[in-house]
This record gives sequence, C-alpha cells and structure tokens, in this order.
Amino acid sequence: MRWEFSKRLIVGGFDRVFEFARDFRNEGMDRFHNPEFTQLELYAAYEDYGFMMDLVERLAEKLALELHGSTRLRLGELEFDLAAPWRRAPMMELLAEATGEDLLEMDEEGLGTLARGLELEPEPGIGRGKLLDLIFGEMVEPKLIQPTFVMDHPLELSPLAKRHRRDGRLVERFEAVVAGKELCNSFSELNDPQDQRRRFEEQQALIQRGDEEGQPLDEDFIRALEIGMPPTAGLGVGIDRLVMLLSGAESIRDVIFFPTLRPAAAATEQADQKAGNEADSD
Amino acid sequence: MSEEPRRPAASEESIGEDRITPVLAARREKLARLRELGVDPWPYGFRREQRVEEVLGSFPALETEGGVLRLAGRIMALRRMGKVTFAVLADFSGKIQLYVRREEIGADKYTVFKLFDIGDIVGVVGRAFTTRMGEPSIQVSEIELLSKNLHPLPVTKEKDGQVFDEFTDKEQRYRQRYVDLIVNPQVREVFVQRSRIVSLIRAELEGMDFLEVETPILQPIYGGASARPFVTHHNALDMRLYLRIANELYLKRLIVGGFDRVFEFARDFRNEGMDRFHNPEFTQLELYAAYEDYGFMMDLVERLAEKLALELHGSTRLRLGELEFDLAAPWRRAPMMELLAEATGEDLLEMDEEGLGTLARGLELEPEPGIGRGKLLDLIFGEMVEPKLIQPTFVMDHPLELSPLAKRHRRDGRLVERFEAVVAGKELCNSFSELNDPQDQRRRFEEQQALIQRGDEEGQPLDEDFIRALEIGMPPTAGLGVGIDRLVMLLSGAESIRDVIFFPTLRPAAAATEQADQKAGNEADSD
Repeated sequence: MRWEFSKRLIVGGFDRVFEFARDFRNEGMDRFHNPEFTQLELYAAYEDYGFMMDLVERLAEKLALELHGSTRLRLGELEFDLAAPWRRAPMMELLAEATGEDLLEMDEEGLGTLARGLELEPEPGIGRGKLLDLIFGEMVEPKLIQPTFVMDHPLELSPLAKRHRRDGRLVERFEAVVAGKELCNSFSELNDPQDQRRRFEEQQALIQRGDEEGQPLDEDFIRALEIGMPPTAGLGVGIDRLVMLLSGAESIRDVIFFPTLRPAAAATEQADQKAGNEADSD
Repeated sequence: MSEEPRRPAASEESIGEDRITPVLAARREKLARLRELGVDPWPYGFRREQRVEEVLGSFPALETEGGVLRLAGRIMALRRMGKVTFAVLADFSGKIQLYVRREEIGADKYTVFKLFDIGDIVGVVGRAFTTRMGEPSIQVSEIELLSKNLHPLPVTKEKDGQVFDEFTDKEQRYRQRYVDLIVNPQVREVFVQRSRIVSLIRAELEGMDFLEVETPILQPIYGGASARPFVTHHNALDMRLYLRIANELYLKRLIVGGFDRVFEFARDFRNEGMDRFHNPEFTQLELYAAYEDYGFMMDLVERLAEKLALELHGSTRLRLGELEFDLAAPWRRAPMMELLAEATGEDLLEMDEEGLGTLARGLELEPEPGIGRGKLLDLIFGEMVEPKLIQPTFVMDHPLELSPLAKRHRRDGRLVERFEAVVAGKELCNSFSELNDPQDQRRRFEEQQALIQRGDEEGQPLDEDFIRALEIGMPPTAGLGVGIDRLVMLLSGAESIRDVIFFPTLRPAAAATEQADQKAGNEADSD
C-alpha cells in the first residue's frame, strides 16, 4: 500500500520523491526476513524502468567504492563484482535457458507439473504468475551470483506495473539479483486507471481462490490515477539486504540492532539460567 | 488581457458540483476518440530537459538564443480561439503560458490537441517567446499527451495573491491530498519546507558526530513515554507486540553498547484522541549524547532552531496565527516550580496531593481521582503557565514523579534534571539528564506500577531488560526528543498538524469516499 501513497504524491505534482520506510509483514522469519524491515522507495516522474536500472548500478558501485575501495566483494563463499554496467536479462529468457521451454506460452497445468517435477509443492490454484515465480526462484535466482537485472516479468505477477511496450503479456519491471538474492524491485508504474482497475479485479479473483497475498482494490488510488499520474518509474530497495551485501553479513539479524525475537521474558529467563545469573531478579 | 487564459466556470467542471456526470462522460468520450486516432493516452515517458522556473528565469536571453525547450507538466488553464490556443502549463517549479498554433503543429496534431482538457499532463517542445502583452510564453512546435485526466480538478480562484479553492469540505483536502497539492501551491510549499528541515537537522547532527540509527517499532514491552499504545499480534511467534510510543529505551541500550552519540527520526504511535496537535502516528527526533547533561541539549536546541529559522526564512522572528515569537538564541531558562509559584503565588512543590487537587478543581480542571502529585502539577502548569509562554522558554527541573526516566536533580532530590522547550504556548521538545542508576531506575518503575494499580493508563511498564542494560553500565548521558511535526508547524506557520502530514489519519476512508461520491453525484467511477 505504501507504493500507492507515494504515487499519490507524484499525482500531486511532486516529481521525484523518496522515503526510507519501515514496512511490516506478518510472516515467518528466517535469515533474510524480519517482521519489520527498511525499504527505500523512490519515484521519478517522466522516467521509466531503464532510468532505475542506471540509478541502481551506479549507486551500488559507488557505495562499494566508498566503503571498501573496490567493487569486488564477497558474501560467505560467494564472490561478486558490483561494477556497472550489470547484466540485463529478460526473465522469460532466463527461464527458457534453464528449462529448455517457452514457459510464457505454457498453461497453468503445464507449469504445475513442471513445478512438482522440481519437488516444489505449489498450492493448487495459485495461478500462472506465482508458478512462474516459484520455478524462477528454484531454477534461476540462486545461480545469479553476479549482479543481474532480471527484466520483464509476466503480467499476472505485477498488478501495479505497466504493460510492456512491445509485449502485452509482460510488464516493464526488473528485479536486481545479486549473490542469488533479490536486492530491489522496479516498475514503469501503471498509470492507466482503467487498466489498474482490471488488474485489481484480477487480484480479487486470486483472493477469492484463496491467495492470501492478493492485493485489495483501492478505489481512492484509482481516483488518483484518474486525476492523472505522469509516466513514472518506481524503485524499492531492501536496505537490510543491501547492508548485508555491502558488509558481508550473512543474516538479517546481523544488520538490525534489535531483531524481532520470540517472547523476551522466556528468552531472558533461559539466558539467565544459562549464565547461572539469578542475581538480576533480586 | 485578451490573452489571459480563461478558467472554467464552477458550473462546468468541479468535483463539488452535482452535474458532474456529463463532464465525466465527456472525458471518457474524448479518451475513446483519442484511441481511435491512434494516440496512447498513457505513453511510456518524455525526455524533459527544462523546468518552468529555469525557463522563466532565463527570459529574455532564451528568446534571443532561440533554442529548443522540452517541458512537461499539467494543463491548468485552456483558452481556445479557433486556430490558436493559449494554455497554462504547471510543473513542480512554476507555471508558464503555452501558445499553440494549428499552423505550427499541423492540422492533424491540432485535431488531437483539441481533445486535451484542463488536468491533462502533457510534454511540450517549443521556443521561448514573449507575447504582445509581455507574457513570457512557450511557442509550441509539438505537444504530446502524457496522461489523460478523467476527473476534472476543482476550480481555484486567485485574488490579490491569495488562492481560494472549491473544496467545500476541509477534510476532503486531506483525503484527496493529491488534488489539494495540485490546486493549492502553498500547501506544497509546507511539505518542501518539511523535507528541508529534516535534511538540515540530519546534516547538523552528522556534523556533530551523531550516528543515525534505526530501532524497533514492534516492541514486546512498550516504554519511554507515558501514553497508550497500539497493540498487534505476530502470527508466526504467536506473540503480542506493541507499536512503539517512543524509542528511548532502545537508544539508551545503544549508548550502553558503546555508541556515544546516536539519533533516529522515529515514527511513533499513540492510541489516543486526535486534535490540531495530535495525529496517532507522528515523527519524533530522538538523540542521545554520552558524557553530556541537559544543559548541552538546551544549547543544541536553541542553536538548531535559530539556524533552521534563518535558513528557511532569513529571520528568527516568525509568526503562527496571531502569535509572534523570536527564535534567536539564547532562550529564557526558567524552573518549572518558579513559573508555577509566579502564577499561583504558592510553593506547589511542598503542597500535598489533596491541596493540588483542590487547586486544580478551582481552575475548573477535572483531574481523575488518584492521578498523583506529578500529574496534578502537570495539569495546573498546562492550564496556567504553558499557554502564556509565547517566546521560546526552557521550562526546567520538573518534579520527580512526572519523569521516571530522568536523573534526580544534582541540587534537589525532589526534582529531576529535565527541560521542555515551550514556544508559542506549546511544548516543542523534551530532554533529560538520563537516569543511569539501575537501582533508582527500578524504584521509579515500581512507583509507576503503583500508579498503574491506581488506574493510570499511561503508567510505564517495568522493563527488566532495560534495568539489566543499566547494570551493564550507561555513562552519564543527555537525551532529547523533538516533535518534528510541531517543529514544522512552528517554522512553516501551519496551525494544524494535518497541514504538515501528507496523509493524516482520518475516519474510515470507505465510508467517507462513498459520501464524497454521493455528494458529487459521481457514480461513473464504478463502471
């Protein structure tokens, strides 16, 4: 939803805005996920996703040089080089290389069979977009160690991104992947209010089918687009993940001062017992 | 003034009008017509090379040079005269007149251009040109639609430099802030100032070796202030979490951990009533400096406020509504109990709870029974003293009961080393010499527990882990919290917190939006 608030400012005439936003997701925790995390979001009017690719690779290169005097970094066993320019590769081509098939033309059943063949366990009825995403996450993403802009995602995955100017089945979007993990996500932003309404409606259909991550329809946001948003590029960068990459930290808990933990009372008691330290509670 | 673009009459196009449906239908018809003509109403970009402000600033030299200009923005007025059209283009930096001739852009393109409306976003290619009336303008050679407006903008009128808009319902301005920002340039200015204030503070603090940090918003135990929290639940951990009311206890843990100077621009949350000075979420700057006391923070606050005023306005003499004040350092420093003695003629520090209660009721205040001496003193101060402190004043040395996290005053154990800066009758910031004695901290928390037992919903819960951190050892430390929203109000002259927050919290949007639609007779949206 935060994206949509920033886009309302672009409608209001702010040409370029950014926010270091604390976002919250009520989901599981692991090495890459904390329930609250910091996301840099920025929007630039009259630009498209190509502008954001240039910005990301230039900024990452600059940060590496400022911090380490070199763009060649390592994260655990992985070595990568943040020097610009980064590889730019369409998502569907990467999938075709990995699977030998044109997955864009494959139907939901075919994709489901392929996913189960990879020992993935897609929930039934999650739709083509999520199946493609699952397969990509298994077969391609972990192997992209050097910085790569994965471009032009299938339409179903991206209800807020603009249709690709040369292929209506795709959107103008990229994710930058470094060391096998997504670092950031960017679109040419959808600003056609009628298309936006259709995309929200497709999300409602997914929610009906049980997708808990479907995006709710926001009438006021559609109204804002009807007032008129210029062509706009948007970018979201996971700051915690960026810090991990640049500092060599292998867990998000090593880049957040006070990560969310299981209930403190229980944990503190355990720690006290371990340390043989009962003096605290006197 | 034959070239002055005509604005539409309110009866033609306005969100506030009943006969809006035909206007909406007309826009949709134009949209269909544009598509028939092969025009993409939402193309992918435009190579913009100038802003309006720099073009206007370069007249008449630009006109002599005759170079090609590329601008983009929203059409804010249109005046068609057959084969010639005058329009006003607005971008973030300003407004400029467009002069569009059929002869120049071509008959086909002019046919397309005739389908453009006020509110459309366009890209323009042209040359600088001054009209016979002396108006700096762009003589347009190409004009391209970049985003089609489907909801007409409310009409604004300018008179003697003042802008009047057609938002009849003020709340509607907050709800549709994007429209507010388009039609009311002075609203935009407040937010530009807000951004500059934050940037300037950040630069100043970094120059003093403060390190910017982030600490949790989701907290298992809330603390650091007296307020009611929002409660949430983490599903995977099956754990209750609170949205922070303050980040104080976490920043102090960082001081314990060896960070000497830290700050955070923190979004804090309080589940309390809303008014001109309170939004449920708000921004607080908190900073902590090891080896300093509250005197250090007074110096910092007055120096910083003076600097901000000079940067933004070139003067320290500002006004907020009727109130005039001067932020020039040094500010008055006055003990709270002296200010109370001046106002009441009595030494309230020695007065017991019953006496204070009687005094409060005499002022037609209605203190809840059993709220304790500290809160009674605070109530009386808020009524009798604070509203009268228009010039910047450091109110110092509060009674102990009010401040469970502040260090006892070095010369009077009944007080703490604390100040609040009051400007224009309102608190701007709050600072302590921080309590770092873990045993005293435990006692203070226990006193808070007693207040909670007596029904004080704003009592601060005991945080064992924080006491443990103090037992590890915190150096003498000064802390400061500055309400950024309130600071922006003071520096920008805004009289409501809703004017310095882009999207203030409002009653449920669905109900309100429906109401607005009904008001506008606008059912076309849901087609």
